[in-house]
Amino acid sequence: MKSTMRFLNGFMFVIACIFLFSPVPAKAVPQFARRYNLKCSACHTIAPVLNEQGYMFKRLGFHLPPALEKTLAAPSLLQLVEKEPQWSLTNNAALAVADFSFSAERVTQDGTTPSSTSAFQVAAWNAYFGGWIPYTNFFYYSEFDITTGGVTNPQLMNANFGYAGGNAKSSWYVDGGREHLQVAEGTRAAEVYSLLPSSPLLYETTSPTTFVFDQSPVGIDAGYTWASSNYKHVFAATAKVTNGDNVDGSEILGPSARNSKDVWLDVDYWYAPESGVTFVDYYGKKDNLQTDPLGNQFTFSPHIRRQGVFANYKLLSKVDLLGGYMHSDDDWQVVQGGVLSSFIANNYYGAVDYYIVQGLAVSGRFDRLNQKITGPSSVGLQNTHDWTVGVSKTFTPSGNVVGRLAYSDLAGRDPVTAVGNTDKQFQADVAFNF
Amino acid sequence: MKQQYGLRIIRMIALAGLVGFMGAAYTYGQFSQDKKADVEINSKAMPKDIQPAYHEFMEKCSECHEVESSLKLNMESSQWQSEVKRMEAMASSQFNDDQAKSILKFLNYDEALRAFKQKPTSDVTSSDSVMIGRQLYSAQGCDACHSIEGKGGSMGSLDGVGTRLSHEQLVHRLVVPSAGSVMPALPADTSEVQIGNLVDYLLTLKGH
Ligand code: HEC
Ligand code: HEC
Repeated sequence: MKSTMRFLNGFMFVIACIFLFSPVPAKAVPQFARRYNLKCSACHTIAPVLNEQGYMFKRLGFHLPPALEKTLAAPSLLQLVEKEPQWSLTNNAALAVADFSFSAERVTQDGTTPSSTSAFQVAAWNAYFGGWIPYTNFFYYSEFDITTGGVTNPQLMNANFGYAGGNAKSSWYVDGGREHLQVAEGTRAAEVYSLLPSSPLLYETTSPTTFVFDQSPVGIDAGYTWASSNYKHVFAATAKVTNGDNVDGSEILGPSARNSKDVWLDVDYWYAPESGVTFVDYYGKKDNLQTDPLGNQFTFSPHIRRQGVFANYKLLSKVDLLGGYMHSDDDWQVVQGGVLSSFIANNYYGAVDYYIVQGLAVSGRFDRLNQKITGPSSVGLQNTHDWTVGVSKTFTPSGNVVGRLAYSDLAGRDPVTAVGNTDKQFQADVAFNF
Repeated sequence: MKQQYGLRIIRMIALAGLVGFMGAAYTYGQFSQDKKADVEINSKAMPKDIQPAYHEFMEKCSECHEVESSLKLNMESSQWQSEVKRMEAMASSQFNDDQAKSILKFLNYDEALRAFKQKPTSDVTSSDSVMIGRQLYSAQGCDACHSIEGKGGSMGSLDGVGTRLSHEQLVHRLVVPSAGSVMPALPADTSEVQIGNLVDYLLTLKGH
């Protein structure tokens, strides 16, 4: 069995190489850009960071947001559907969104010897299939993650199906299936995507309850979007009610599906050009596998709460100032049946993206996480901070090949044991979107 | 253990299907590329006052699509005006009314230049002066206000102006701004030869 898997992985790799390195005619870009003969930069500042047009594209059920001129009535989504180019396979499938990275990392932890590692790896290889059913307002979207962090473990990360209605100025959608909590939601500062290789700490760091924001539970999702003329103002609200993942985002395959509910709310306001504010609220009650101080494992069901506000302001179409704040309040239990106390964290970040010319940007970000566990097991307030600087550049006119260099420096103490640790990392990566 | 085995098989089948599917999609994609119109732009040959407008156009109109997409259509000045307005109303478009005006200036110039390079189509005499005059007529946006044979703006038909007014009168009308008129003066750097070209063109409008 193992050898079959190994063979298959090797086989896939060869296929990937053939596709990636064979000479490709001028227009080899993922399906959405291909569909409309547009550049990636129509919807992304630098892929995968979305701009307002990319955001609207998703909210209209994967239809191109039309011009909203003051003097003209906004077309209904059904009219947009009629104008769509003919459905075709290449307009709806992206073979590979692959990211090759080299990273060198030095990690220290109190009481252990420092370790340095470096690796060249396939950081990500994902395939996408998404689009609309011809002549209808039904849309679908799926993401198949083949390799993540150098490990090949094919997983269907997202698969959902929905319907969008209304008109371009006032629209709504409903969809259901497996989908990411935050990807492609929120204004710029609240996006999971960043020009830097990692998202802000508040989205990436695993809480001591093992909860990560970066997960894709199963559920339903509904949203309403309102846009003014010239998209000067866009207001949007989204709610998701989901069920199906453990606290750490893993799928529930075992017997403990009793407790796994999420409610997620997102309110966005975009202000042209490219500025905005987002409010995010999350509540979950999920099974969490916890290890007590003696090493025994037990399961408890903490309440998990997150509230965040995020904002960005883009100056002169060049300098994007971003900031975010998130508060968490999770239940915390040290031993089975023991006292229920809380894990509380306040996380904030500030960042600057400077777009020197189209397709070239330098970025810097500062993150700080203040974390505390209350009750008898408390080791007091601990904090972690992280500096990251980087540069991103597109290598093709359409913007489908993106290179990045980044350096980050993290230092802090963990809130459970107060052990100090540092992590310095250099990363270079190239992303191909075909 | 048994469940894991099943899961692996499902994953493998899904994966094989996906790779096959993507391969097919890729191959198919190779044969269905959009053909681009060949558009050549020679920025060095452009008049000085068009250069900034050209750079504005290159910067703003290649943000979402290649400039080839913007230029492949042959459009009249008034059509360009509404097309640029439409682009300004797109989500994420980042140019204002002033920049739109500048971009239009380039587009009108470019359109006129290409019209000039094409063979003459209508009944105007084929003399070069008339051709250039006709080109200037659209490059200067005269057709935003005036109409010829029903095409253009609504502020006055120029049909027959060539019989109505003499050479001298036309030159005078173009060069000396008349008090209270909404008609803009020609740009200060318009040469005498260019004015001559415009007038030669207007003189061919003998019409109705
Ligand atoms: C914010 C993104 C954006 C910018 C900036 C932009 N366009 Fe477009 N343009 C589009 C999109 C999207 C389409 C295709 C959909 C449509 O035509 O409605 C398009 C289509 C066009 C078309 C029609 C092409 C065809 O084949 O029918 C023309 C012409 C055009 N643009 C010209 C321009 C010009 C000139 C500019 C600069 C003033 C410009 N565009 C700037 C997004 C943009
Ligand atoms: C802003 C609108 C506008 C523009 C642009 C404009 N004109 Fe005029 N033009 C007018 C108006 C209005 C009149 C008639 C009333 C007046 O003289 O003010 C006129 C009158 C004329 C006349 C005299 C017509 C007659 O029958 O007496 C000529 C010739 C003329 N324009 C040529 C041009 C040319 C050539 C251009 C381009 C370089 C041009 N116009 C641009 C508005 C405009």
